[in-house]
Amino acid sequence: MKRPLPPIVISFCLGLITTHHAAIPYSFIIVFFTAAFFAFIFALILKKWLFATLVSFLIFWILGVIYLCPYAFPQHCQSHIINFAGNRRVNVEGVIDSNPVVSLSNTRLFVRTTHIHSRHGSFSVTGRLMVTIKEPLKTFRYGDRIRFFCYLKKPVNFNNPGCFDYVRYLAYKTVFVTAFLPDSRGIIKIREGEGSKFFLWMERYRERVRTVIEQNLSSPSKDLLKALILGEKGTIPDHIKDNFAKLGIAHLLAISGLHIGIITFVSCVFFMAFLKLYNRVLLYVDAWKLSVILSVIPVLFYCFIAGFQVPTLRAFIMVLSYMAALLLGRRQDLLSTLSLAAFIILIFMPTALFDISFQLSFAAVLSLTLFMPVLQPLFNARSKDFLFDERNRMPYKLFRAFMVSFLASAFAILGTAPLTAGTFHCFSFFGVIANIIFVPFVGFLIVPLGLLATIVLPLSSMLAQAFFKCAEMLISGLLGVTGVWSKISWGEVKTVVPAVWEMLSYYGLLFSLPFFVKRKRIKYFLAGALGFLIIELAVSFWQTREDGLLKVTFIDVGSGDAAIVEFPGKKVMLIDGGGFRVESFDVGRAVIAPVLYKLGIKKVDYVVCSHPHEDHIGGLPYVVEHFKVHELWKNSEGSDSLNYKRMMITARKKKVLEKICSCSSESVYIEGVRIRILSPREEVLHPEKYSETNNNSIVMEIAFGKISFLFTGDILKEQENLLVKSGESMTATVLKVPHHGRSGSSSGDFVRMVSPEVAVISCRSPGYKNVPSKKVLEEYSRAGAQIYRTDMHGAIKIVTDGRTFHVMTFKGMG
Amino acid sequence: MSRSRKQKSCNLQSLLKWTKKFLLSVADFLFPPKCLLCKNFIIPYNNGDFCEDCLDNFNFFNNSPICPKCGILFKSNKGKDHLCSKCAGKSHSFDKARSVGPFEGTLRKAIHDLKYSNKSMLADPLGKILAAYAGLMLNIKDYEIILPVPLHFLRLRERSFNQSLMLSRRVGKIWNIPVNAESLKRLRQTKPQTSLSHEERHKNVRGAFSFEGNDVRGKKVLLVDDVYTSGSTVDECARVLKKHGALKVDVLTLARTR
Repeated sequence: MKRPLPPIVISFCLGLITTHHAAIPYSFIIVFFTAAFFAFIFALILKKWLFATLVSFLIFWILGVIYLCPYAFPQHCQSHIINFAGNRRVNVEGVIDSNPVVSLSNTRLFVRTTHIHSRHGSFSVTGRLMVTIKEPLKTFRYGDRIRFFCYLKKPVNFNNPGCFDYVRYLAYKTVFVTAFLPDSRGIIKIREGEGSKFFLWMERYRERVRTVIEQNLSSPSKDLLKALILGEKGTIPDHIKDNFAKLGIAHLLAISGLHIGIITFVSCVFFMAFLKLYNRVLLYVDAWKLSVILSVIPVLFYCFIAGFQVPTLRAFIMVLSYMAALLLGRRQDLLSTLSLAAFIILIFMPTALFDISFQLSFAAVLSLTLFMPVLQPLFNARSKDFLFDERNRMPYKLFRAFMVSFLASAFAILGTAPLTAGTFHCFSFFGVIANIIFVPFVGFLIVPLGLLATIVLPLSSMLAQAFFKCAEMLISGLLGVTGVWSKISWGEVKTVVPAVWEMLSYYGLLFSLPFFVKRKRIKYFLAGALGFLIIELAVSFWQTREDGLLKVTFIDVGSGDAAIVEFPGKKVMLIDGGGFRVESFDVGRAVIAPVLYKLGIKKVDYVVCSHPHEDHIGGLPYVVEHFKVHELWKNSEGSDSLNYKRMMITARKKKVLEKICSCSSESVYIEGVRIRILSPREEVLHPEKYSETNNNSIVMEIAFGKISFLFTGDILKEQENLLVKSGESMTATVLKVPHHGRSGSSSGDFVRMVSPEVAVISCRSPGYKNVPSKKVLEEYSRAGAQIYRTDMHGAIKIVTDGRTFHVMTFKGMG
Repeated sequence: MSRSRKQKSCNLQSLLKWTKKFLLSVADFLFPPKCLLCKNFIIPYNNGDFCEDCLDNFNFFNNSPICPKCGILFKSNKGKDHLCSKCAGKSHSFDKARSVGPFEGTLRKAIHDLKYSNKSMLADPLGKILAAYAGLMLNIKDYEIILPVPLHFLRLRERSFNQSLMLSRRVGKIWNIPVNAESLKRLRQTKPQTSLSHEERHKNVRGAFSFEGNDVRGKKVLLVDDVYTSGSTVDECARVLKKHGALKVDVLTLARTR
């Protein structure tokens, strides 16, 4: 084996991935491990080296499988706080065990619970609790012991294709229970300063830095500097994040290996320059090694200031393993070094593998590692005349620096492209150039300046303020340039989520390219790439073909409503967009857009807003902003809510055709599907009353051949009766049950009139009692309808060819 | 009592030895050894620093006749050692000069990497080779002090190390001879010798060195440099050293141009 480490780490990672996706039975693990172990021993005894090597990979695979089990399938003990989750208000006591995460609208505390108090006495409990408070707060710190009343809830997922696995995400942070508080009034601080002395001291220092930054800097630059220095990016406004994402430099906002690496480099150069001032030092020590060792100090300090958070620590480990190779005086094998870093990180935090920032860091560095050696001869061939010349040739040096950074940036982007496409749904063409400009700007100017300020802070706060002011000027320049640049609209393309096979073949091709180049077998690579492209085109053609089917997907958006209608051609309609009473949670960004991208949709021709209530409109502004929308259908009623205004402003800006729907609107045919509006009437009654707004919902029938869907919004009994009395035929195959199955709707007459075969209820039970109500459920069962619920089945997809229909659910039940 | 202590220290030493061996093998596992010159892995792990290919391209001066003064290798490999035309024509200040090999192939690459590509890890294997060769060609035990050819302080600052000093340290360590890094100084920043003709080189380095202190009075000195081209540099150094009372100045370089 030339390199023993990379295959070992890969097998270990495969083991982790196996457990992440599937539960391997313990009996299998034990049998497999024992068998592999003995096979390994025998292979060693019999000196079958190849066999022993292969078996050792299997052993590392099974070790990976075992290693993740406690995280993926946790066993909670009797006293775990999860046992208190439910609809009962409890009084929890605990200690804040990590730095509170403050965003613009809320605060997240991670609490290590110790007691639960009740009328019957106190119980001691264990387990972490995540508390979300709907206020940005600065009053809580690491080590505070607090006590408060709350409802403990198990986190829930939105069960849709392409949605983020929030439950897993929290479980990997060892959080299994969450609580929500509207404000901090109910929280009693009992004591301060519990927890590790070091971390308390660190937090005090960080607090001091934070205060200085907040007092001396103005708003957007302050938030950016906090993200770069303290690693707190929660308060960066969304539009700045979007601008950075558009230019492909969003990674700059989170402290990563890049930042730590640049700081190492900068401090190395600094120490080197310092040592060079003393000729005698140069005669007696290896200045380069000494400055590498010395630069651990500033890097550690950076980690310290950034609060030793996981991404920072990870980057630190990566840099340390590079340093180790350098100090050992070996010709470094970058692949081995990278594997070593990955291995150490995964040993300490195996769940990091499923962290997008980990994946992005390693994909970028791996791609650079693999490609740079191939490109080096290019530079050497060019530099032959200069290499032996000790004079500095500035133009050549500049050219080389530019080429290296251009190629580095290009390869990093190529290496991370599928991941960014899958996670951020866009690919930026400007990324290559933007990175060359902004990475040095941020890494070599802003971050070192900010760090310098934090170092001198204990000595002189005046000087620190001056440094921060300088950093602020640079940041405002940066924000100005990014703001203008990101206005150019053709710089990015929206991407849908790549499938697993696409990812695998892309990476297979990309990472094998260096080997093909080295062996001068580029034509094989080109053949492979061509094959991939042909298959890719064929598949995408197959997927987007006009299959003549009407597909309706009811998305699980929690307590709201949202459905995607894919017409038999290529047109798409979105009916309502979910939403929560908490406006800070953007359903559009978090739920609806991911589903659309996963379904391969980048263009929503029709957006229908049945009525302007928050649980129907919440996700629409994001969709209107980020997708191509042709028409916006709504009733004549307006609203004062923020989301409604946001939606209308964007729609007008993007010149979306606005269509007011009422029962007098004529039927529309879209790709052979008839759409008929049954309600509301033209003039809208009493729009100020809550129930009236519900009653003014658009009721819409979508009919394809013999199969029809009836969307009813949130209409209540009165409106149902009016519809029944109007005498129009309303029979439907599939009914979206009005008002989430609450008892004020779905009157017997209406249900009998519609007589649906399938009733779809879009609801989320916890917290809302009696949604859907038992009476309503009985009503539908009596009418002979099959009931599907988004809270139980997840997303519900109904596919029809106009004659028959077929129901699929995300959870695959029923 | 003393015996047991001796045994104890023996045990400690072997323990240290084994620990070192173990740590090295761990390091080999984590950072597999690669040739310091090309990027090939060294297979099997031979504890060496260069791969087979690079070692094959390593030319040493062998049994062919050389000039006893400047150490140049004659083209024909027959006959006895005799003074070369240059050395017969004029007198050098140094007594004799010896090099490990011609400035070509692996040696040339190694020296370039060491000097210009900042690969200080090459100093170790090259120093070992130089020391071994010095043991063969020179009466090494005679020398009382090793002096490297110095760099001008601006050049030193630019490069951050003096490759001749790094080589001297290795030779000094192996043969247990003190190295003086500071006494010999370069006063002027001379033009790179490579760009000049033979005559110009002499002029270029004339008066470029000075010596401070009295370390060399009555001593036999070994002057170490990386490459011997025309000999002007080491000649000038030797002149300065002789002026300060050096009994004998011999020159040891890693490579020399043919």
